[in-house]
Amino acid sequence: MSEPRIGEVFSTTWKVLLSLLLISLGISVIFFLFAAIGAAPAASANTYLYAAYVATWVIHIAYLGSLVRRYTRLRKEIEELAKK
Amino acid sequence: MKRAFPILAILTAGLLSYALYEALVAAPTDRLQGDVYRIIYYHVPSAWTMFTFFAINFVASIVYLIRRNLKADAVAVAAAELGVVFNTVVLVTGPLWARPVWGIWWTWDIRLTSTLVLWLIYVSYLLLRRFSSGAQMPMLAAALAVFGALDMPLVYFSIWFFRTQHPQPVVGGGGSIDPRMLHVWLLNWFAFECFGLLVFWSRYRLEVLRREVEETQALESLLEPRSVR
Amino acid sequence: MTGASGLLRATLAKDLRLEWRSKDAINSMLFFALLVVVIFSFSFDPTAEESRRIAGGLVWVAFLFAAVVALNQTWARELRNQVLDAYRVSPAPANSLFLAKALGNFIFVAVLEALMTPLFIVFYNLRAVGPAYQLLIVAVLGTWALVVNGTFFAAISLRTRSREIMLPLLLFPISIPALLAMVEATSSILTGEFSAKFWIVLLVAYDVVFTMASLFLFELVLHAE
Repeated sequence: MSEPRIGEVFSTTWKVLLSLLLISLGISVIFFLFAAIGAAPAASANTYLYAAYVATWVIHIAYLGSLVRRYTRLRKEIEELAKK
Repeated sequence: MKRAFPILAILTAGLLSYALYEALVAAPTDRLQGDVYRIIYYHVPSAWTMFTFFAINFVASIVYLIRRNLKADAVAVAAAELGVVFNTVVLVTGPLWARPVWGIWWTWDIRLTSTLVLWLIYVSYLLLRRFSSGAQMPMLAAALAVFGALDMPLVYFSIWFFRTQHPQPVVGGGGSIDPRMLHVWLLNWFAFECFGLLVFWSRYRLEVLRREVEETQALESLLEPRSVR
Repeated sequence: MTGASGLLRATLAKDLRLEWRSKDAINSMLFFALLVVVIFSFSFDPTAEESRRIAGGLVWVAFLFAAVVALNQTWARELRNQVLDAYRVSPAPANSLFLAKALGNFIFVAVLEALMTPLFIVFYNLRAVGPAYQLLIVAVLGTWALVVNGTFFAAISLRTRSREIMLPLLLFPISIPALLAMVEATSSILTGEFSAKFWIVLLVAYDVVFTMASLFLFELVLHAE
């Protein structure tokens, strides 16, 4: 018997409650982020420069991450096919 | 190509680092804008790279419509995804540059607006591919890609005339380019192009592999003896 | 009935007759458009001056949403009764079917526009300062622009999950130049500040390009499983 996956450990009620909690947490985090950005003193010009460079690489790395995830999922499927 | 990949990846990483150094340190500071202008060393090369990938998608879509070659379809989807990634970079870095320099996050000028429309069209292309199933999906997607490509000149003209009738603040103004800046510009473009092509190649290989696995799975389910008990 | 025009007339007549009997599409379109008109009228003070500036955009948003309602049900009847399969195996040219559907949609949306226009004039105290006859030209060209692409994308959406979401998702980005032209032309004519000629030319170009593209590619889309 294989180990139970995360999805199987919680029942549906718990999943719903957990997701509601996480969503409200997420929304409050975003709200406070905006409040903090608004309250902070005006950013110097160079902040935008670094933000732009960082944002560029965040986007590229996020895409590369999605590629890696798809590759591993495919690898798993190939292994399952090879077993048959 | 497979064996060359790690070497090419390391070379590209080196190239990107060198281009980054040139952009942040070696390039001269702009008299008017200060150091913030260096964003264009990422913003504009990303835009040029985006155009090359959308062009690849257009050509691959036409090839698919004519020859029904599935490899062309794999090229099309890989190019579209890479194009959208670089397009996102352009749309994010654009406002980050406009805000400190021109005081506004966004304006409906021709370059920003047409980039946004391009993003919308290609995201809808990727959504169509995700939401449709079946063997004819590549053909439908290719038709949409052709429509999108036909649309772009019209988008450009319509926004150009809109701007002429309703003048808006100009973002990313022209002016003569310092030759040292041009050198860094082209260097960054070359670096991003190499990076983009390597990722594109990975995505293409992934698509080809995915299709093979799908076919094998389909074959398996056909050949499996069905138990009626 | 043989021949391309025969098929076109037959299909068009059938659609119009069915719609006249049930009035499904027209009723939902009317309701939608009315809703948009009323809700937007809360957002600005309908003095003549201001409303002329904004009305162009509002009118076309209302018509666009209403058109999507009509477009979504374009192929529904055909799909339900396996009529599409019959078309595929028949020697009838696919283009006639497409034109018939597009013309049918055009008529539905045009009827809606005719019904809604008096309402707009009343709600927003509209009066055209520029040449009003041009509004008719803009309406015809703009409606065709929405309908020709909409009918094509409705056929593409048939083979997707979330069919009703897919149509506007595909249609809106591609229609942006046409929408811009329609809105700007209408505003120009209403306020009388600019000439709408360039926008009308752009709409003609848009209509020509996409009508040809749709006719060219519809055969492929029809034969997709």
